Amino acid sequence: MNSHVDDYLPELVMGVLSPKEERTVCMHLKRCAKCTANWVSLEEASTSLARILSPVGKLQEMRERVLQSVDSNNTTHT
Amino acid sequence: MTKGDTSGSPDPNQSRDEDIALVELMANGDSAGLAGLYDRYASLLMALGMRMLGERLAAEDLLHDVFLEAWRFAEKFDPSRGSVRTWLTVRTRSRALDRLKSPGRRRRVFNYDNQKSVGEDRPAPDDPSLSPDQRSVRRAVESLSKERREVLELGYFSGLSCSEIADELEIPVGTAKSRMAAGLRQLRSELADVEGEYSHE
Repeated sequence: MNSHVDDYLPELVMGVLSPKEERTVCMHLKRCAKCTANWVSLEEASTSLARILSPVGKLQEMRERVLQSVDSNNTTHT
Repeated sequence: MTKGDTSGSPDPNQSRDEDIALVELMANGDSAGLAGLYDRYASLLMALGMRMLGERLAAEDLLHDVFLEAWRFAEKFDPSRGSVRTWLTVRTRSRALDRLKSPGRRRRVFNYDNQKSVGEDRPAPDDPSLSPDQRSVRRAVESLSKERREVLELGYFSGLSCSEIADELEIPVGTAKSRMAAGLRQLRSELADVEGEYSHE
């Protein structure tokens, strides 16, 4: 692997690197601001694939379920 | 409230600040923050869940878990790592991929050519019901070549590796990798141009 990991970032974003490659890339990211910035921007861009999907409605009941789960379980922050 | 991505402000930068404020509310134990983020992003995340898992019930469970997870880990959100929308979307996709990879679950392959057959009726990029931000995103994705787009969609929605995509599309692995990389970088470039327009206002 080169000193920088640009070539691996698209696959990291897509979550399809091998476990070994992912570990190596992530270790590099911990100490490289440039590659981290590159990764962050690619990850932001990848969400556009989800953002063009047709919106889904009828989510009010789910909303209540989510909020009740938080209230009833007194879910604590970690 | 606009459809789909329901972040309320037309200016994406202002919307980002509002999202961060909602996460801060959550981190302080205020469920109004969770409600606010749900109202903004549930539709988007649900659409992603349904696309990846193929059924509403599974997507609802996923949505529930993702929002509870966001509530639980709100303090750990780091704005330097990306937007709140990306944080939620990445979590949703990761949990969906976990479910897809669980034993006994047959992976659902999102096939570019099958889009119309599952009844998708995405608004056109110039649909007036879309916010300017949404129109920009659609234009960016629509600007991808068919070859790049199909690689990205197989990877993004089905979690296929480049070698699996190569098998699926009957192309070399190197071609799959280069199309994936080029497609993501093209999207980044297109979307950066849009954000640049807002920052100059």
